[in-house]
Amino acid sequence: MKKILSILFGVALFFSCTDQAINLEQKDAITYGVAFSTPERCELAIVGCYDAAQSGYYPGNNQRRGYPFGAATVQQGDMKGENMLNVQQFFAVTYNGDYTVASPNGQAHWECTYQMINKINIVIEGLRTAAENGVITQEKAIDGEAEVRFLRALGLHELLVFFALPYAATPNASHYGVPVSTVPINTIDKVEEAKEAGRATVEETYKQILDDLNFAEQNLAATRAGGLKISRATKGAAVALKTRVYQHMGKWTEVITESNKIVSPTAPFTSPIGAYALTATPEGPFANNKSNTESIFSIENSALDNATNNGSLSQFYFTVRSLVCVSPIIINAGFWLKDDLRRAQLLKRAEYGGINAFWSWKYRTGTVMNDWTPILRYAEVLLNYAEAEARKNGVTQKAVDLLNAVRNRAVTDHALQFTTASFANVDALMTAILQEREIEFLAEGRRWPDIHRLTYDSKYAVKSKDGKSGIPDKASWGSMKTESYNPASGVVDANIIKTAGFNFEDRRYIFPIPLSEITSNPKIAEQQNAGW
Amino acid sequence: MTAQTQVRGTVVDEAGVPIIGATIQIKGTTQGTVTNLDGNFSLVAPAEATLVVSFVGLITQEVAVAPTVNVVLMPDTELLEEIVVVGYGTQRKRDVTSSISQIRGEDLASKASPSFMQQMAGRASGVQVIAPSGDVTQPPRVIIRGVGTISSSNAPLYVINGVPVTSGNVGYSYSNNNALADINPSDIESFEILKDGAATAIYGSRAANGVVLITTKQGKQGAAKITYDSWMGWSSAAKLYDLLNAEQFVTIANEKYTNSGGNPQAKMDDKGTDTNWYDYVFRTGFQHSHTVSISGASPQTQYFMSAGYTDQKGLSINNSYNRYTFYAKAEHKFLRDYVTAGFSLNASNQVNTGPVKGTNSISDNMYASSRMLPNVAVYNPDDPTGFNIDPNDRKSLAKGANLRTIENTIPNIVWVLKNNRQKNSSYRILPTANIDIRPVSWLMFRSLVGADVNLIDDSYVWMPESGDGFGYKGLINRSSIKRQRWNFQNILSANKSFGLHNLDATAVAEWTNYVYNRFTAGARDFSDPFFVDEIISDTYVTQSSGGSVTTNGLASYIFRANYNYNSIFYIGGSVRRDGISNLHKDNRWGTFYGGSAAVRISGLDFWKNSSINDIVSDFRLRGSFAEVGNDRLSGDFMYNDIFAGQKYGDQAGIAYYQAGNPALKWEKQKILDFGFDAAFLHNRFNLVFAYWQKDNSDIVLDVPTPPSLGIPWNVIAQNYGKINNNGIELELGGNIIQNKGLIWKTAFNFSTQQSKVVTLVNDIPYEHYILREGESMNALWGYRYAGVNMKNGNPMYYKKDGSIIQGNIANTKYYVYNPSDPADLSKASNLVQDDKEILGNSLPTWFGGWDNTVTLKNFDFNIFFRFSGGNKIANVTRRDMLDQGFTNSSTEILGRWQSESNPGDGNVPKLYYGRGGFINLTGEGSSRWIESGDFLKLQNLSVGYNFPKGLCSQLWVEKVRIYVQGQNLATFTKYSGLDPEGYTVVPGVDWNGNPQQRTFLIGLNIGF
Repeated sequence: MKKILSILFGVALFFSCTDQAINLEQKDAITYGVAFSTPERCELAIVGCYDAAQSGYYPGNNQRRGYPFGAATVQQGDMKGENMLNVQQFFAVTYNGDYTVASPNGQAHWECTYQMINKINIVIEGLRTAAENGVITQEKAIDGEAEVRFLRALGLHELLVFFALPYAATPNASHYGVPVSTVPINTIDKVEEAKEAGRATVEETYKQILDDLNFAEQNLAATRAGGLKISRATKGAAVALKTRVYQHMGKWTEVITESNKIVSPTAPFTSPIGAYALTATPEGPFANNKSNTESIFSIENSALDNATNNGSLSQFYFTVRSLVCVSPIIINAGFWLKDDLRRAQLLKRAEYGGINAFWSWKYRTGTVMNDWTPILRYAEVLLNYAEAEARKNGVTQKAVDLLNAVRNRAVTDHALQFTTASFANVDALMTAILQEREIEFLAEGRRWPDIHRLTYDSKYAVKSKDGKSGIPDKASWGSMKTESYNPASGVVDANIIKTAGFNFEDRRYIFPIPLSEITSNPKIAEQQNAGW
Repeated sequence: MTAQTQVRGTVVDEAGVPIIGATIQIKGTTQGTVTNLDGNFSLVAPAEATLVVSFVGLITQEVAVAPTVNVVLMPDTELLEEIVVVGYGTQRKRDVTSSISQIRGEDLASKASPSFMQQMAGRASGVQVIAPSGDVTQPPRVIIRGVGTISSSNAPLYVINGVPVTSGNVGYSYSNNNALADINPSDIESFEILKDGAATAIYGSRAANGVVLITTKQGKQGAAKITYDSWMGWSSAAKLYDLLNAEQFVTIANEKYTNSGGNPQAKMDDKGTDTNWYDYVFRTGFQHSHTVSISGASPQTQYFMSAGYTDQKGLSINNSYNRYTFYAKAEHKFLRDYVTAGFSLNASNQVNTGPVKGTNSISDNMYASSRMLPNVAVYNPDDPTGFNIDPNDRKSLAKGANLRTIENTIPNIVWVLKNNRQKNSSYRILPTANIDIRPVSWLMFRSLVGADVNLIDDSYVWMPESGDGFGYKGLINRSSIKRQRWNFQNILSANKSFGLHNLDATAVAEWTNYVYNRFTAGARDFSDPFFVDEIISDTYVTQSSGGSVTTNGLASYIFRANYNYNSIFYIGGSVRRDGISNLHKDNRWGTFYGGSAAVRISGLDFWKNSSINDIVSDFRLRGSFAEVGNDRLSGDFMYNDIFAGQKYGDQAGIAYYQAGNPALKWEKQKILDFGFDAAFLHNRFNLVFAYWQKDNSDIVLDVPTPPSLGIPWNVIAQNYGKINNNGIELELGGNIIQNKGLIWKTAFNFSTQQSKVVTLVNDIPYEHYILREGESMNALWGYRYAGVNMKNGNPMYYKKDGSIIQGNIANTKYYVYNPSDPADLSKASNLVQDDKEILGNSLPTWFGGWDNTVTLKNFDFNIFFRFSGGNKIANVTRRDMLDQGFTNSSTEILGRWQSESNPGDGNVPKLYYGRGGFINLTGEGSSRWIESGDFLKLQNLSVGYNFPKGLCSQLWVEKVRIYVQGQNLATFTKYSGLDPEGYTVVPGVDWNGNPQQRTFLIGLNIGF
């Protein structure tokens, strides 16, 4: 008996050791199977999609740098254009057009956006399952789905702008768009299956974007409590994004239709949905970026969760890290009037490297980095509307009113304000609207999307030096002096224009599909952008 | 009556140490004498007689009578029970049938380096030890017989006194912590490096990268002994880059601007300031080490205790390593010697500081110091900091007389190194306790518990006045990390002989578990720079915290049996069953096995009776095969599909974080090894030869998924791919000269290794290397450079079809190169990925070492060479130092193309401000930077002097030795970088790495 007991003891000791040694539970993460098992987790997972929009991981070092929407969309959009000026060589890749298939900026933009999209697809499925299982209500599931589908549309459109030729490049937009996936992918089998899809056409991509936005519009609430009104998707945000999307498609009637949903018939323009209105001064949406009437959708940043000092706008666009200043090309532009309040409120002069340069003052928190990143503002909706109105109906009072709504809060001298009589023809009005966009959205990353969408516009395309649609030549920091700035003079010193732009036929016009995609996806390897 | 001769002589062992009490007998008589304390003897013998010199454990020698007779007695391996430590036990060296390299602790302890690991380089065949730089806190990379895996760890398993321990770099943020540098080299008795399957199979799922067994010292029979070992040395950079001086910099910087249509920006100041920044960033580091030990043993009890301290200042002015160690081991036999209880404890404290490292980080000491403007001074008494910092741009170095500040806001690196701090302190204890029960002489049961507890306090402090801390208004990040491992082993072993049949068997049950915890606190936006030193409540605005936890474990059941017939025929094998926590429950258990066989041909009668025995005194053929595993995956729960916490601003969230693969298994490795061991001239020389082959399959690979599918991190770990490695090893050693008080002992080893990626999912490209089927591991890869277009200074490249294109610097576009009209830019072309080619093998294909010790009377001389080659290196630092921004450059840039009549060296294109990315293809590999990695290194040169016994006894000590030593004295190589072994990203990619140390030291060993 004693012997048996001691053997049993020995055996028990052995098994308890094995259990303690190897039957271990993961404590730092929730397994997929229970990620949607409570209403709270469903909500957390929705927030997780916004996080993916705000701060994806940079390839190579897995640090957060604000890809795609936390900061990168602004920086890349500005650096492809000519109005913001790259100061530091290590950040010059996009500005100079030196990128290759292996350049981290394009790679991160692509990868982080798709990281977000798959998270969204996973959440959509998770919410639907949770509703079926009675964890959350059907309404809650649909509301959550609408929120993340707004983000998916935003992401797909961003990809189109950087990685595909514009809508108008082929008659039916039948050229390559971007891969579109709406199913969650989390296993090897699903990866193998999804690999077969390849790139959708631009038309198909836009179709998905509009599907998502229509769903979002129908199902999202008009407003939310506190700052969530701006940092989370709303019905108004979905409509506002549609005005932008239709604008890129050149569908002006639809731009007007959508705009009318959120723009009152007469000035002062306000929105029946979400009560959006321009702030009294141009700096309103920036000075008070977490709470104002004009911001329709912004990406939330906080002191502890932001694009970090390796990405945040308040560090990059000012002399905290001095990476990007405002170019004399726009500072000196004659169309940007000297007394325009945006010069006083949204620019700052500060010396760097012996040059007293102009810097954007839209992102003001310096080392704290918690400015929210503007994605959609009411001012954009009004200018989108103004452009569509002008293109459709010519020099109308409505078009001029919409333009003036944005312009006159900055140009307060009545003598300098526009009336219909200011425009000899629609081209003059269109020029004014497009120039107004350059001023109003300076340092918000809208310049490249505008250059891109206008590429095939016979009248209003931005031109490179050779006269073809493209990216104009830019200023070079290395040739700059303080005197290069001569605000509103209408003259830019030719000696500082040393960074060559290129036309739309150059392979660099759009980013190449990154090498990481090409090497792992044979189908897309055959669908690389031309010249790469 | 024959003539009598007065004979005087000395008897020493193979190491030249005098043998006390050796017997000298006149052959055929009973007359003779014994040697005294100095190994000397004298006697009178007939002139024609023969002397028989003998000592227990050594081979008896006969010598003819002469006035002076000096005898070296060699160890008798047949008699001497020389022991080799193997997994879970020991074996007689003579009966080991597997590939095990042994290194004596004393061979490494006297050398100046933070850990013993650096000194292992070149001392054992098949073992590659590469120190990536001279940073005294950085662990070297140890590779045993090739690289067989991609995403998992390549490091061997380290086992100290039977207990597996944490190894590698356990520093958390910016400072390194070499876990194995916690062990004082002076406390180590021996290293056994298990290389082939027969030796490693007993470690089953942990065996694939080889196993290093470390045995610490224990007391030796006799009265208490006290020793004091010490050295002090001075280390300086073996080599630094040649940078432009101030005048050259001004010329080059302005040429960059004028070529691009800009205005000159660089100027000499009135004082003619010409700063060599390396003089301020690097130094001669003083290093010293002290160990005191007390040890002894009676038949029942043995004990060994030691305390050690070392302080090593590195080359970079803020790089240092301090270690305090305490080691104790005691064992006592009781209950009529049936039972032995043993205890050991290794306790240590390591304090490390160092620069920020990051190939591309502007505060990296190498990146920054190589770019600092030479026409700008380091200090400026007018600046509040006393350093020369730009008054407007507080991040950057001041501009001096230049019109602009340095490119990319690079900070004054001397300010950075003297103010910012990256530091960690670790506290480590390695306790073991065992009880051995030996009911009969051939059977033993041992129960062993061991632990490895490592506590790290890791911090970085960035001051707000400039540099990286400026963007945070001061930053502290402090992490507390706890690593705990426990291990419990029960071993039953039997060892019995039946006549000439010898049998041993071992059964083991072992469990081990590891838990990792980290807690981090951070602070930013300090109210006053005064407080930016420690985290003090209410002195800062933004606070953060974070942490993580993970765990893993292993349960193992092991059986091993060996049989030999009269030490002539051998056969043995082992089998191990492992349960691995890192794998899903359903496929957690695996079986691993190995077997070996050998025959000692020299033990057969025909050989023993033949005269060949006088030449080849031992000859044994051996072979082994094993199938083992690698369970060291890059994560502990890679089978789980998980959501992890993610924040969106101030909103809490979770997000899909890892696509788990429940089917994941351990990596498989099949190892084949065969070779022979031979000894010559009565064991005076020995030779070991082995051929090995390792086939790794089911490699745990982070298989890249198309990024457009959005799988987290764009990978799913899968068992995918196959890598084959093979090589030969040769070790040859012995006493070349052993007479007249002069002994020359030599040891030479040579190894080859070839690796080949046999199957892989698809190309996995990196900036400078690629994983590709059919190529070697991490093959260097990039565009083929075709030199400079002598007409216009444009860089040129080969397309895949062999045609040449030029990259036009002016508009950054590519054009077909027309040799008959080099200026022709009419036909557009492009560089595309397809044009890239494999540019070389990044891993050495041959390496080895040659060690020589000459003992002459009381002097000993040592010279040790190492060599390695067959590989190429991507010298990316060169590319960085040809940058086209406003920074300093290497002198290579002086060879640039200036004009058709002054076209330079044909390698460096025309300068053009801001076009570095295009001119040098930043971000992509290029043959322009590929260089041969072959080298021969004079690693060690030393002279020692042993005080004569007589003098020692007058000084009341037993033994005194003093020595002087030089390390890393010369490197013979065509490689133009700092050191052919230096690397940063992966071996073979040298990108802003720190220089290697060259050390001179004096040492002292005293035994009381």
